[in-house]
Amino acid sequence: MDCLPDYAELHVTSNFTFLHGASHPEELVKQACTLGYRAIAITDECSLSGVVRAHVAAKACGIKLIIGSELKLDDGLRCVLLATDRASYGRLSRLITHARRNADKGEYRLGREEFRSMPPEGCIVLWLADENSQVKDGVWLAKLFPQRVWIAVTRLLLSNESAYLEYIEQLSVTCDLPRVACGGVHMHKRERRVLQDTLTAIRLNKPLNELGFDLFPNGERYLRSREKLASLYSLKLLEQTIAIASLCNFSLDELRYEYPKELVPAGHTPASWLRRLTEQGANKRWPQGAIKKVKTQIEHELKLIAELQYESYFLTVHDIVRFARERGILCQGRGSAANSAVCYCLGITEVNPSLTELLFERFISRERDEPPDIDVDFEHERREEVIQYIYRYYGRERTALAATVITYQFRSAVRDVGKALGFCLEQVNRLSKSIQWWDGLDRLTTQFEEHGFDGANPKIKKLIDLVSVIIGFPRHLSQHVGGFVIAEGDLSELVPIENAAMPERTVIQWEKDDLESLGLLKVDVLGLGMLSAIRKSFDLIEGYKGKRWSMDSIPKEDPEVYAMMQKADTVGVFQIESRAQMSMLPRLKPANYYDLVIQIAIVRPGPIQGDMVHPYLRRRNREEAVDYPSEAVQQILQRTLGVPIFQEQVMQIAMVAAGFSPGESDQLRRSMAAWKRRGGLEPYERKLVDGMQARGYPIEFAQRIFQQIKGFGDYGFPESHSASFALLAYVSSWLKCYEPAAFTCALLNSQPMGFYRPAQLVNDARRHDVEIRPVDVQTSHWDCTLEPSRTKQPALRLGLRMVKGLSRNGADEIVCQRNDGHFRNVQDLTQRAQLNKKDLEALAAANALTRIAGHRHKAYWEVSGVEPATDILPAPQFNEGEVLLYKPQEEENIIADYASTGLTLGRHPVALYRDRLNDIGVHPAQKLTHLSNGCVASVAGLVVNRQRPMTASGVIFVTLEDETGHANIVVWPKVVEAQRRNLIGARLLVVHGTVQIESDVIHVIAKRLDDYSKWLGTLRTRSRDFH
Amino acid sequence: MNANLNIAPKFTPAEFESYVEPAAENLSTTEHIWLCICFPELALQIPAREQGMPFAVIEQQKNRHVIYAACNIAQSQGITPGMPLNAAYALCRNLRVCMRDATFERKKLEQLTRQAAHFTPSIALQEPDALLMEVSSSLKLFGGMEKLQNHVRDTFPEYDFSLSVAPTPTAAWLLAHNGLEKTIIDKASLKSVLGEIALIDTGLSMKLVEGLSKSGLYTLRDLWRLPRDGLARRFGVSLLEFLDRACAIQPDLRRVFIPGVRFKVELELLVHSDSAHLLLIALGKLLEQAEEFLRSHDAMTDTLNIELWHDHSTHTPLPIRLQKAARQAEHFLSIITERLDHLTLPHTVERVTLRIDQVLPYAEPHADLFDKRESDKQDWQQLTELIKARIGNEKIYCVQTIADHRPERAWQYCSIGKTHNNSNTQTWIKTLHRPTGLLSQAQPIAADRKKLKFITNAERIEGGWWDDNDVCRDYYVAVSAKGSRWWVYRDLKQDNRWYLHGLFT
Repeated sequence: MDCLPDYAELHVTSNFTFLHGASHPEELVKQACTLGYRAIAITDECSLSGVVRAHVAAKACGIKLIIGSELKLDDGLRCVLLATDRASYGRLSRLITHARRNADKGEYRLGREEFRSMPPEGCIVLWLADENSQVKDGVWLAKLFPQRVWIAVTRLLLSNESAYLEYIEQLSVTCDLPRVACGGVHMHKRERRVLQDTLTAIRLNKPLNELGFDLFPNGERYLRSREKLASLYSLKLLEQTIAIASLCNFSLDELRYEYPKELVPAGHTPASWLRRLTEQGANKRWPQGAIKKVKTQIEHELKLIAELQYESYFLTVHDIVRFARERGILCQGRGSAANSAVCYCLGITEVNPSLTELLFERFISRERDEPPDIDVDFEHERREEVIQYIYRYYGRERTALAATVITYQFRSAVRDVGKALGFCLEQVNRLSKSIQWWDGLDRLTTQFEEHGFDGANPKIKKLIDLVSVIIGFPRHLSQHVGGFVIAEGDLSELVPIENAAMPERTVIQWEKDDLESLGLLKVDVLGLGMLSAIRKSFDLIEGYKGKRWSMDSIPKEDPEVYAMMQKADTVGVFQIESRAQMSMLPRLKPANYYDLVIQIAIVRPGPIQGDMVHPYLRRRNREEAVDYPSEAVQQILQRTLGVPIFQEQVMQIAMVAAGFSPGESDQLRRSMAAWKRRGGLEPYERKLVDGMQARGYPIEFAQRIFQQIKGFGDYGFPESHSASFALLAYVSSWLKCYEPAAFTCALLNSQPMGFYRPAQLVNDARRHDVEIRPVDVQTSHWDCTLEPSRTKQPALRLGLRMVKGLSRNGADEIVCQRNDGHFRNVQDLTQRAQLNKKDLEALAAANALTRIAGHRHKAYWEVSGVEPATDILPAPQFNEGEVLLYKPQEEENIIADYASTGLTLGRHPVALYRDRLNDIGVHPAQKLTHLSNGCVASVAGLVVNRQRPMTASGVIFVTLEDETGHANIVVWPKVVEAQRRNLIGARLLVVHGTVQIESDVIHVIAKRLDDYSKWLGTLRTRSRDFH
Repeated sequence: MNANLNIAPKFTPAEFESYVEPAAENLSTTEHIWLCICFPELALQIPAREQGMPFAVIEQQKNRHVIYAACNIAQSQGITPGMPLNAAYALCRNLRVCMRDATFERKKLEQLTRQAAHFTPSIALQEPDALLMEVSSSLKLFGGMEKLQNHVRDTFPEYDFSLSVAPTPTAAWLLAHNGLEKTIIDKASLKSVLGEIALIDTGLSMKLVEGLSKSGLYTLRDLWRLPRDGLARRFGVSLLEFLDRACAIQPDLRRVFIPGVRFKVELELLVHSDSAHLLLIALGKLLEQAEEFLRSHDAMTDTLNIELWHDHSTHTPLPIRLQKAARQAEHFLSIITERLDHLTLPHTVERVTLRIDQVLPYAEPHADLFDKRESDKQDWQQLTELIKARIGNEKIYCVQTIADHRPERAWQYCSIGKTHNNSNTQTWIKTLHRPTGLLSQAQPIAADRKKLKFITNAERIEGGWWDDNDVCRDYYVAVSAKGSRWWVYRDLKQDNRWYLHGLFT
């Protein structure tokens, strides 16, 4: 026991006062604990954003945390408000909300009158007075908060401090207010001074050497030792900190919030109403009655929901989904609770629980204290309708979006710190862009050197030091993509709400993790392009066949559909269309729904980094025996042949095989998502490996599991999500298989979305015998449409939406005016549709005027001569002679097509060079299938995709497209280095290499890359045929 | 004047020029012959360039940097003009770059003009990288076209360039710019030679070139084939004018650049005198002419060379250097008056000369009628100029406060007129407790420290880690044994040693 006086720090600015504080809330709390403080307050300026993290850290290390906030009124009066109980916390949160909602995003405004009209009663007030403060302000505060006001005395070793101290003492006497010692803390350790100065430079957007007096004169704003404090402050002032701390007895654990109750009709309890809705739904889903197993499942789930009192949550999600359905908006739930039988009955998911029994072990569990998680995807173009419904129905005071704290990443950190240190813009750009951060911070110095910067230069050293600290620092609050918090009462009494960048959007000051830490629920309302495309497909099919499909009625488990997937014929299909997925399809050969669930989850960084892919393939192909390290593990891994693939399995293994408690396992899950940004996985690694070894598991198995955990980091992929995605993948595959015209049309009308661009979607459709018709001002609508054709599939008419640069108004006017008859010529079109020059030129560029103006060059010449009518003058008529313009050559047309509509209906560009390519011995991509493993081969094509997956250490994957299809190229790092220029620069690439075939997947391993882009741009050599 | 078109050279006001007389409209053969030399690598001649390394000059386009010019090594690695800088780095990691410096290029071009002046007085600049020389009258002197060209080539051995000759400057430039080294004397053959040139290489704006290409028009020949009215209606009359100038259908006027123009006037005094009054009257007249000269060239100057001649061989120089360039005779005169007051002339003056060797483009002083501060500033400026005129430039300077927590860096000397104090700094400084006098170097006071009585709390000053002069000191005001008030500090970075840094009066 030391004999130093006790101390509680009551005025602390963390890095959640963006670009002011130089320490994380957790660091501050831990340091306060280390120094033996009795308590610490986190008092960010008009914000409670950092308090949840502080709360978690304080609980972990056992120090008292006080929740508060610093405020500056419009007239300059500054004070710190500290919550003493739940009620005063609510008022403080409401006041912050008021001040934030009153100002633009990221700012706040609070006038004295507003402060007086809604004072956060019950809060302790620390008046941050200085030599310019006036007695009347003190008196005013004292009257507003009787017996609750202290004057803060902050000793920071500044010039003229004695004058300040005397003045404060005087104020104290005159206003009759007690004084209390405060630190005005901005960092947990004094070493952070350098960072604090840098943050100031970033905030003021000036280099450090120009900041002058904008910097703090010294680095005293840290958590000082009690010994030092004892030498600076009188005992009386220090005692007051303890007195105040003992008045503050509020903990965030007291926060409880309730989901809206109005969804329950009179005479029902939430439980009875949920049961009623579930039963109604079950009758609809199983008109002949559900099988017993499902009934049992439903009962089990309802009981669990009741026990944990989650009824209102399910009812709220149900209500949102009900709204969407009434509006004809397609939606689909995912997440741990979404694929339950109850959710199936409620229409939240279409994943049928009788389809597979394996999914529902991980519903909400009693043991793990973890709120249920339901994300609902809606059609991406109509999500806004759902959001507006939520705001309208529940009111702005009861609902808001969760925040996303935008933090410094490597690039932004290098850019901002670089600027602060006085590097010029060009250097900063170069530093930040040319460096591959995933190589890790330890390699930073070497990387800088490789790029021509002197690693020993003190300025570079400082840069590296600062960058490594600032990464992960919050910069601003943004809105979460769709996480809504909806409350029974006034949400702003729970957490402050502020304005988002989008008008009429509001966000709370906490993010997803914060909500989880406090056990609060949110509903994710997300947008998904594929749902739009599926709904539009249903509409289109109904339009020409008269039959309406739905997610539910699409025939299940159709072998044709799986056969198509096994051939990797999946361009446009949800999830399994990416290059990586496509190369896995012929190996995995999904043949049923659950295979698809695995397929979707396995091509992810987690399983790849954990080296789980090949073992699974071998076992599936019966090349390797399926075995389990123990019976307990068998329970978990049986459905994936002993190989952990899903996030849930890994978590369960941590518990079963390494002895993690449910709580620890959940902590691990959350650290996983954050480790890339914040680190902090190391303690888990030791615990996991030790735990598993102690229980007799081989160390290799343990390490593979840990690698997989690290791989989950950014894209932790649980089975519950995969199950929902698999359903969409199946439905979209079915559409592609049986209705390719409608499916392609719907995809084009839902752009931008998916992995492929319109050109590739259209090429793929043509390969499947769909006739594509060009944009035509005489027939096209805004959207792409289906037209009768002589073949089995209807023809697809490209819509005006494909025309780059054409306004929606112009397009609508064209379609409207066409009802009165076709356009006679360009003049007629211009006059009737009132098109401006920009629209006309766009149409000419898209070759959409062929039927009224001839070829592209003529059309452009005509529209550029049109002078639209004005209000006063009619359009002038010109009689021009016939002009001799060259007819565009095939190549010109192809290039112009790409420039305007992003696709061409002419020949594939590569087809133009086929003769020349034959001369140099290049194979068409399709011919690769006739070659055998190890053959030398050459392919050529437009580079449609270059990828450098983080999981593939330096390898670059290139996809080439020619008129016959795609070729997949693998470029090893050595070749990348040697032929970087051709690899990065080429648009038309010729690759010489060897063929590698593995389970029907063909790659070309590149040896030499030749850039033939020069062939593409030969517009100026031309024949002279007039037309 | 040919100002409307994009390829028209830009002129800065400081240039002194006359027009090459336009050829009469119907001249047939004996007209101008223009020789154009184009230096495509001019922008790369920057002195900071590291030899033997891939090097490129970049420029800012909207929010990104793009390559403006690249050296051979860089080009061999695939770097081409117009390429975004990031793409260039992807191709060549050790690429060295420099921002484009148009002033530098202009200066370089002017230098080249001096060498070219050897061949003809009629030289026009075609910025950014070409010279146009009218050589019709030089042909005889240099022994014909071929010999002349050889001479010209030999004049610029250290440069890569292309050289072309044509009857119009536009045509000559088009040829040289495209590396077509041709000599065309006959106007009739212009169209057939120029016809092949791609529109994108004609200096026409990108927007125009793109518009034309959409109708399948890619070369100059494509344009000549089209009806003139249709072309003008769609793409503007200036395009036609450009085509016509190139083919000598319309006159093609260029401003002739005359390097190093000077102004010099003199006045014989009717009465030889050393009276300041009379001299001022004479100088006043000269200065009026000077002002007129400067006005006519839209220029101003900061240096006047005045010489007071006592007889034909001896004179007293009276150079006037101004702090800020000007052109008003009145302003010059007020300064000269001061100088004359302090000048003792050895003899009477019989003649006065005034020379201006260097001029600057005229810049408008802030012409806000109501801006009191500006006029105050002008008064101050004139006052300091007067003082400087009296005691000499070097003897007068200002002390300026600097925003820096480190006391020794919180001020500096500066020459008058260069101060830029902001009010924020001033307000802050007022709140600090600082001594009136600061020692130029802090003195160690290990021995005296015991005798000091501290009368303030510590003031801690830290800062400067960014410029490698990080300090960490605790300052105190102390009373010495003799009763004077000292400003002392303890250096926390260096073993807590004590120093005296200043004295309070």
